[in-house]
Amino acid sequence: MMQKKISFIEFRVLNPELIRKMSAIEIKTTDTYDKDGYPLEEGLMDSHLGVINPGLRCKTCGQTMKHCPGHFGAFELVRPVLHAKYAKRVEVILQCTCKECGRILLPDDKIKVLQERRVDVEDLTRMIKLRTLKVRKCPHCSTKVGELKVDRPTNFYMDKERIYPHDLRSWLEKIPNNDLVLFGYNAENVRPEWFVLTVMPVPPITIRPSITLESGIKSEDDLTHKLVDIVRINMRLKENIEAGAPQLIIEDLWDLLQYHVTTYYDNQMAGIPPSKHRSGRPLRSLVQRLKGKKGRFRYNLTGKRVNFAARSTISPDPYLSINQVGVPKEIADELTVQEAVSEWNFDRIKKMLKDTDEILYVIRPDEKRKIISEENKKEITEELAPGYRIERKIIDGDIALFNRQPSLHRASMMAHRVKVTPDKTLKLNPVICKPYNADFDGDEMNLHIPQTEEGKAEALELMFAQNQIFSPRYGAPFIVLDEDGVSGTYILTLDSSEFEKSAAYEFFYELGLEDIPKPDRGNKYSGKLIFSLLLPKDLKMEYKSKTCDIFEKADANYKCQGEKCPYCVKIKNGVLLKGVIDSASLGEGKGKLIDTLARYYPPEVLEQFYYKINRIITKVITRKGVTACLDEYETPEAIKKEIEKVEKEEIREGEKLVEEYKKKTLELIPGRTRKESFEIKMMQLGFKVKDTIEKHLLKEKIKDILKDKPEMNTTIMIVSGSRGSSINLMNISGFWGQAAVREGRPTRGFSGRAISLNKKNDLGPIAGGFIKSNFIDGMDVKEYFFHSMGGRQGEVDTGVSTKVSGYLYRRLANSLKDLSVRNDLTVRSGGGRIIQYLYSEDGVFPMYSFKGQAVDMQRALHLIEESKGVSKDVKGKKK
Amino acid sequence: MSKIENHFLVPKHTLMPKDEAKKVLDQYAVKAEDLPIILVDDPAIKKTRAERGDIIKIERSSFTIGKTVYYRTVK
Ligand SMILES: [Mg+2]
Ligand SMILES: [Zn+2]
Ligand SMILES: [Zn+2]
Ligand SMILES: [Zn+2]
Repeated sequence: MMQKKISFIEFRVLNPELIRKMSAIEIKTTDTYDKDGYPLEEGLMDSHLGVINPGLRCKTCGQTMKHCPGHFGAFELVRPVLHAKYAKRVEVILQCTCKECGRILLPDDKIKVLQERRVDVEDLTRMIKLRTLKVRKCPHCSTKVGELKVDRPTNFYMDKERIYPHDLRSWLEKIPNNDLVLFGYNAENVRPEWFVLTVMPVPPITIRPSITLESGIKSEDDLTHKLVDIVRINMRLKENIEAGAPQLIIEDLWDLLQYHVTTYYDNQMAGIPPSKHRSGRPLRSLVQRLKGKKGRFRYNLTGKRVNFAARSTISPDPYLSINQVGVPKEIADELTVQEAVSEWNFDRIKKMLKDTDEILYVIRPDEKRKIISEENKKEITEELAPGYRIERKIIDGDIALFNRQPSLHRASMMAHRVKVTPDKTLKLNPVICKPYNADFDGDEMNLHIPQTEEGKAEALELMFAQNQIFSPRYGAPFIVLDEDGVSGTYILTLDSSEFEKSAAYEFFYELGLEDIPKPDRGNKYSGKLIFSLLLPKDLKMEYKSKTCDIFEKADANYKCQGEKCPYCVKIKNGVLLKGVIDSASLGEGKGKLIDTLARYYPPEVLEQFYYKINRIITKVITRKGVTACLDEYETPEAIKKEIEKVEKEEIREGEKLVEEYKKKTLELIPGRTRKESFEIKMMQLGFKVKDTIEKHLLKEKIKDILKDKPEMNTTIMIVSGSRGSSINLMNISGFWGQAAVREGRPTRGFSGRAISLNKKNDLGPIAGGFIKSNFIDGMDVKEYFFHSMGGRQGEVDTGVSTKVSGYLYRRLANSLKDLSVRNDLTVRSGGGRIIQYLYSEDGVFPMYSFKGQAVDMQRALHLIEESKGVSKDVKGKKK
Repeated sequence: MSKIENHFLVPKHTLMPKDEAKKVLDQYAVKAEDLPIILVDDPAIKKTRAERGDIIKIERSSFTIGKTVYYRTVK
């Protein structure tokens, strides 16, 4: 391949000579088509400007519509007109130059000094403007400098006298090339007099095609309409000048011409009423075509649309594998892929062609496409041979890319295998919600079907869902069970969970088990036995569970009994001997079981684990019904008393602080003012009392788990770590505590008080937003308002932070998108320049690391010890 | 004023001899202008008396692998 490097890009301004030179024909009439609908000679739709009718040939290049690129025309303006988009530049030049000699209004030596300054053009222009501001007399020809007035955008006055465009043009013509350099113009590319148009380019009709409506009426493009206006006024002006009409009429027409030219380029200029259609719709000018969200750049170039794609609402389906995506039949019938016919799939494809209508086209080796119909089906089936290709609807097992916006990381778009379903939505296993950040409150997702073998292979190798289990950020699994998944596994593996034969056999059926295990609890199966069926037979693990952790935290007297602890996990030979499976086994980043399955076994093992456990949990959790009842949040009597006591204490202490503050005996916090110290102490007081109650509440609730049959699902969620924590429990059954806005007590509102229910200058805890109530009992009016203040802050924060971080991310991603890691592990830019000599300067890719570490040292040492003599095949993912 | 090259946050900057510099360029198959740059008046290389076009070797300590090397062309 030939490589070319762009060394620079230069923008120029079209000069009149060039406009005439590149013009294929001079436009002289406003008429477009004759009676028969053929383009008129020298009209705005002249065939020299290109062709848009399939039959016709271009009069300039002789080619048909497909090959003719279109050609520019031109037409002469009788009177020059300022190009309004350059008006600002003209204004600057007029301010700084002499109208007689065209020189910059500074003496030569000063100009020279400025020329030698190495600053960018904008700064230089600003400096010239500043220095010429007070100059009253031209230092070169001693002409008096007049007072410049601008009626934006296009009208200029000097000493109250209008400068007409032709005067403007001759002024600009006088400016010497050397002076122009100071304004940043290279005279070869840009002469300021070119800003005043004497001849206008007429764009090819390919960019402003006329449309023939169904009724047979031709409708012209907005640009053509505008050009007709310009040509018409130009002709009227010409006639009037030739007829020797009064100056006033000529000036009016001239201004009208200026208006049309201005709105032809930009119909949304400040100070210019937008030009409108007869219907009242504003015309779409050249600038509008390019600018903004709906403009050519953002809408058509950056935002290309693709084929072989679908978009729909998503819903969960735990019976799918994480590698699958459920595709509605309606979508599957619409999307297609090509498949090459070979010796190996010949029989299958032939059968498909004969028996189904999945195949839409057959493509012969010579690229001839044959559409399949009832009539030719038989004939084509006979003809089919290896080397042919078919185009068919997508079926189960095809590869699809599945994506949810915003696509913030690589797991936002993963490859899945299609599973065609009779439903109406795209479906996915809830386990992969996390990487997509999807939920089912109406989220929509996109589906793309890779068409080539290379595309499919790439998708499967790099993007397949089961290969994305490790987070590319911290090197631990992040496709994990959560919420109901963890709760369900927890319930399944509790000591108390047992299943009758009938129930257990349902699980065995779901697992596709052929050898039915013997019941381990008399006639019943334990949940642990059923869970063990999912584990690889050589798995051996021992670790502390989240449940045990929480018990210890809540109750100072509770101590883990190690080997005998009924909650800590022990797995040997793939059998769960004791313990419960909670978020310490399954959770994101910290789930030890998941980590081991993902890291030291082939990806299929974890995929199958998820596939099976979803089937079991769905049954378990449906049977139990993980739902909450108000009873679960009832405050125990003992705690009610304690809360009362604590609240009294809070108020007493608070009042004491207020008193000390007012008497100025309050102990100050170093580096804080008296007021600040007081506020901080009030806040701390609120937190202190809350903490003790929270612990007691949890301790009280945990008793439920210790029972044989735990009934409280909220507690199960907290203890297993699937959702919520004791804070939520505290807010529901305990009390809310201190309301906070920006880490302090709410202060803003009225003068001397935050809400009008307070007495002025009341600094006490209640007036400062201490909330004694909880969600079960409900808050009083004051508390409700204080609580809302904190709530509002949270809402604002999420809104602002997503917006800010989103933009930050975009900028980062755009600047890094061309960097790649090469085969020698250097990181290089798109142009081959070196950014890093070794990827991330240590060669560690977090996704394949052990939680950010290059090597799992503990395990490595352990293996060395163990393998003294015994060699064991360890599937390491480490680099 | 203290010498900044002695500060613990400033990695070691050394001027590479021409032959060694060429080896580095050959190893990565690049021209000197394709390397990252360091300005001639950068305080960290003042002592090396490097000139435009020279290559500076920078040795940094790394949390994960102990030491990493980086090269910059003087501009
Ligand atoms: Mg949503
Ligand atoms: Zn042509
Ligand atoms: Zn002058
Ligand atoms: Zn324990």
